[in-house]
Amino acid sequence: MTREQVLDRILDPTGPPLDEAEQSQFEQWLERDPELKAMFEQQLALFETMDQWETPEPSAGFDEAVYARIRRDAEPFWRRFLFASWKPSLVAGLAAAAVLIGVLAFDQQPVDEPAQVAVKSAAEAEYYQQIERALDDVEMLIDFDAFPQSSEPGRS
Amino acid sequence: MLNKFVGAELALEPDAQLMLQVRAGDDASFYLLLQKYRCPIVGYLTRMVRNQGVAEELGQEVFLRVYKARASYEPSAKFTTWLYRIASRVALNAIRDRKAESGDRSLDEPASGGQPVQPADSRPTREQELVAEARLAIVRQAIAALPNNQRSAVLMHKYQELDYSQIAAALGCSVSAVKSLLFRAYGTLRSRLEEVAINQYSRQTQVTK
Repeated sequence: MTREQVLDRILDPTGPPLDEAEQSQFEQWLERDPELKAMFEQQLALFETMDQWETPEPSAGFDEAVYARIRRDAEPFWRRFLFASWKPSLVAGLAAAAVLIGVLAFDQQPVDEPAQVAVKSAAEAEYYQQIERALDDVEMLIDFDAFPQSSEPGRS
Repeated sequence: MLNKFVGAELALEPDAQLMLQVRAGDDASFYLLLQKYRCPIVGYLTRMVRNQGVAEELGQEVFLRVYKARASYEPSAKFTTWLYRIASRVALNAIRDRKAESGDRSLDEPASGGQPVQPADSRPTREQELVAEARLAIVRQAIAALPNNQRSAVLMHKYQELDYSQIAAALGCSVSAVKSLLFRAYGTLRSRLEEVAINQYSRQTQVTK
């Protein structure tokens, strides 16, 4: 039995039983090497302690949950998306976001700056003045047309 | 050729045969595998992530992956090796993603709803129980503190009784790497347990003085 085989056995002290010759060689190794013997005893104590770590059985609904996941996984993507458990919260989130965006957009409608207002009012004033002048011109032309042309000297 | 194929089929282990039947569309065989391996897999995952609820979710994921992979299943290795390879990947991914850690609970909390570990009790019989519980708590903490690969290797070796080659296949490394992982991991655990024993011994000698 090699030292490596002895170490393997030490790592797995509760493994399948060794045959008589191997067992004898193993014990000789331990007698000759106190370090290996100490390691073997510590490993046995460790395994004894680890044996006490028991885990509870899976809950009663475990199988059902597995089959439910298999069924869900077999569904097409769009259906899984539509009926996903997180969907209601997503919809609520999207609705809240839409309302927020609406409120922000309403609050932030473009407001004219004072300089822009001044320019705008000057332009408007000029526009009205132009209209006024045009009306005056039209009025003047009307008056001009109404003037008796036959009395004009030099014309017959 | 046909005889050779039939011979190979007959030589297969029962679990691999069941899995081949699952591949052929037999859901009853999947049910049998689920019944056989639900406890060992959830137990392995519970020890890996230290949380029963998370372990069950991961266990469901493992069986879902087994079912999904049925079409491509080839019995090239033992069924348990294949199964634990999937379980190890699921567990290690969950640990890496910190999914498990977000729902983590203290290791001092007893897994089966028993009383929390208390320090020394005056009654001798209860004292022995407490010492054993304290030792187990220390070992569980020490296992939890191991690097992920070492922890997987120890749990598969000690509790699932997989041999070196199966652990190597499950973790995707060589047999010598598995031996090295186990040697280091058990060394760490032995030294932690030895520290506890020494502290226990020194406390007892102080009390008797």
